[in-house]
Amino acid sequence: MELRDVLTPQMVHTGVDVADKDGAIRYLARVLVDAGYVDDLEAFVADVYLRETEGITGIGGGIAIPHGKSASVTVPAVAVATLAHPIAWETLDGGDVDAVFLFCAGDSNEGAREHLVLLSKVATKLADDDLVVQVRHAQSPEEIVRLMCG
Amino acid sequence: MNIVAVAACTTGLAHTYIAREKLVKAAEARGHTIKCETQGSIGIENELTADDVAAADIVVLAIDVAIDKMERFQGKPTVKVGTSEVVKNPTAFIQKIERAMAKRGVK
Repeated sequence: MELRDVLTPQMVHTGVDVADKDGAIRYLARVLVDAGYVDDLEAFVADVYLRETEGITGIGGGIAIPHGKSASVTVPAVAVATLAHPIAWETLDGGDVDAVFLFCAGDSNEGAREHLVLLSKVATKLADDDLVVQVRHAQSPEEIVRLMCG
Repeated sequence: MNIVAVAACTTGLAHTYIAREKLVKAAEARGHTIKCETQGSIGIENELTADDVAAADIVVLAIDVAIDKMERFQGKPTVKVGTSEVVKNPTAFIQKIERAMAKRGVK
């Protein structure tokens, strides 16, 4: 398995129009449900908010990485949205957010190691400030996949 | 200087790996040698060996949770920091260590 197997254009949405943080989390949770990686949207969203209480997920540079560790997750995965308008989020640099990476993993990660390794690679790429700027300005899901998997 | 580090966050999904990458990039950009282990959802990766730790001038623990194998670092100069601080401004963090280590005569 490679990065391209988890980060498919289906999991990436550009120019998403949401009003706020809740809208972004619910939009991406729906993407994970539709792809079959999460089987209970409300339970998953509740677990994402639980993680939000434990620390800031806005890592600066316009990027947020909310995540849920949840029994509702069938396969560890990530869904990505770049936003039409920046939204308020608790961030390390105090700025707004215009790209959101929603990670999900199960309660038990037995048999899921390969997927988790790939998710760790997605996270690692988000440490590259130049790449992050390119992702935020990308025009299509395919372009983001190309940037992230390059 | 020669740095060994461990990164670990609460969920072990994302912050751990971003913190590792930011720390390594910032340290190398400032001319230091660094090896950073991660303890996350996939267990221990890039594990520090006894030789790595013995050769290190300083141990950096970029952690939000208790980690395994802490006993390895007994007696070593250690700096503990949250993953957020490392993600937020890795270069400032490395510079802070540089100043502290300079007082011990380590560059």
